[in-house]
Amino acid sequence: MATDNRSQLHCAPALALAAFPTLLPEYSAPTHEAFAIALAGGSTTDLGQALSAYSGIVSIKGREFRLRLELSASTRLADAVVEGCPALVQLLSGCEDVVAQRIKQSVDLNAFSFELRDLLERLVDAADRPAATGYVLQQGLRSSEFYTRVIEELDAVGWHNVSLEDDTLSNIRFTARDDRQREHSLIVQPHPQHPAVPPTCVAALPEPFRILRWNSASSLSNVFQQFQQALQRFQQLWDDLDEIDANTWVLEPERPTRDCCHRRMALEHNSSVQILVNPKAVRAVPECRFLGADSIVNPLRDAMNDNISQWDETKPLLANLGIVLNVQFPSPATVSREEVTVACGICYSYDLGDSVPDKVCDGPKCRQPFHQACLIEWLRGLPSFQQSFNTIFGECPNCSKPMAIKLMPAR
Amino acid sequence: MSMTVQKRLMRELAEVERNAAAEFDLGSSEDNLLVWTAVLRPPAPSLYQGGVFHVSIRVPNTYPMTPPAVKFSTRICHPNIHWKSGDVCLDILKTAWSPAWTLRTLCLALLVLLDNPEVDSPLNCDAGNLLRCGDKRGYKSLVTMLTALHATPASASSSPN
Repeated sequence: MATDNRSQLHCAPALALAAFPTLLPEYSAPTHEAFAIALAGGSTTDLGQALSAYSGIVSIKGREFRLRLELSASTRLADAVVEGCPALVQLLSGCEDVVAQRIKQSVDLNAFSFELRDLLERLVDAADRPAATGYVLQQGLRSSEFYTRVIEELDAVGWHNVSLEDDTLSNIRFTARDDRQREHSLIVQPHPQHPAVPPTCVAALPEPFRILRWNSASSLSNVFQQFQQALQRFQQLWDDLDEIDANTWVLEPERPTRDCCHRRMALEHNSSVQILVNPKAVRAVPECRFLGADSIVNPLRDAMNDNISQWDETKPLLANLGIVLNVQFPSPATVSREEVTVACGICYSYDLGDSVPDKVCDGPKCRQPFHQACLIEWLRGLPSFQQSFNTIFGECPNCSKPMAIKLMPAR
Repeated sequence: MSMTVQKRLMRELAEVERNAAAEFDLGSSEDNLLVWTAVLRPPAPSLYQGGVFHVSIRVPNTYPMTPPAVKFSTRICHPNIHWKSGDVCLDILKTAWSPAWTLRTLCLALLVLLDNPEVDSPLNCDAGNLLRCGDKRGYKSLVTMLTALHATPASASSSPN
């Protein structure tokens, strides 16, 4: 591409400049601001021509950079010196070794210009999204040994357990089934220097998943085995939580993930109880929070205090909660969701951003729940609005009974 | 239109479609959820029975924090409804509004208002004065006549607007 372009330049210079890679051989040494990236010698690619310098304009995503490439007397591409305008040098700063590697691997100038263009496109993207810089550079540094090794290790893991999230092997999903046939995923991100550096793992487990005893002889199948062992530890937790999910109306979270240890279960009369289970001590008394009208919730709290001695750590959570609170949880089999998730009396919806209607009118015939935000917006507009520290006073929009609302900081 | 208003009105529309009432039809305009129309058909013991009253309801963007604007588009003789403009004087449309009201309960309130006029705050002084003087018979025959004239399907419906 280098030599033929001379004629192109004569007939259509604009075209020749716009279509990078465009490097033109030059016969006089340029005098522009030179900033050299010295490239260590390596391969013996011979350009097979006597021209010693090329320069041109690189157009990447609407930005233009001047570039000059000077070959040494040996005319080997690997010994070349790349010079660029300050903007290009700044963009490439930190990636000099990547450029050096690419130029070493390139068969000819044409191949190198494609490699360089690819790298620059990624860097321009990364400059627009600063968080992604590390990722781009990681990608650029992967060697063929890396891919060979990772594929071999995945063979050992078994491909029925593996699915690839992308074609660069940077995100690999392992799928494992536990004793109860529950499916769990582990996202593994092998490090570019794999296996010298352990891969990064992300899994939806109640406790973070860490790779133990990693050394350079370790492989991804070790990771998979450790993941399967980790799953064993949480069997009882998931058994008990699955029982709760199946037999009660869980209001929060709406779609529980496997790492989620809290559940908010609907009770009667617009009230609910939120439990936070300790994954290390599944069957111990969980942290309980009651939500609802005081007249409903206070007896539950009292019942819990009175009956706490009956908590039996050999029984599943749901059975224990039923005994201690002395309640029957409304079951999805008999009660519809609309009956337990009573919408806010103002906006008529249940979810409002992160909040649920947890401010409940205490009137025995009303018990209408509201979102805190909706209630405040309404009460503020009334002439009777009063606030004292973090409590606001007003009338229930539904039954006009006086209400006192304790403000909770937004979650 | 804010999400809150839209969500709430969608819920109300679903609720109206689920529980259709014999005394009134209620629905939003096809292309604007903030514009609703109600058709009131006051049932038997009412003075207005046989009449069909069209009511236009405009929902503000701040709904349900502020009440909707209600206007009769069919002429109606009632102490609290303006003869020409169709404006309604009803406490829940002004100061006694609460977000607990819905457009559906509002229609029920309008039906109740028809037979329970509040003569101390009249928008139609002639109708109000008849009642204030205790001329129930005169009031009754006036209402029946004007309903038959303006609000029966047979009558050429005349609109105040």
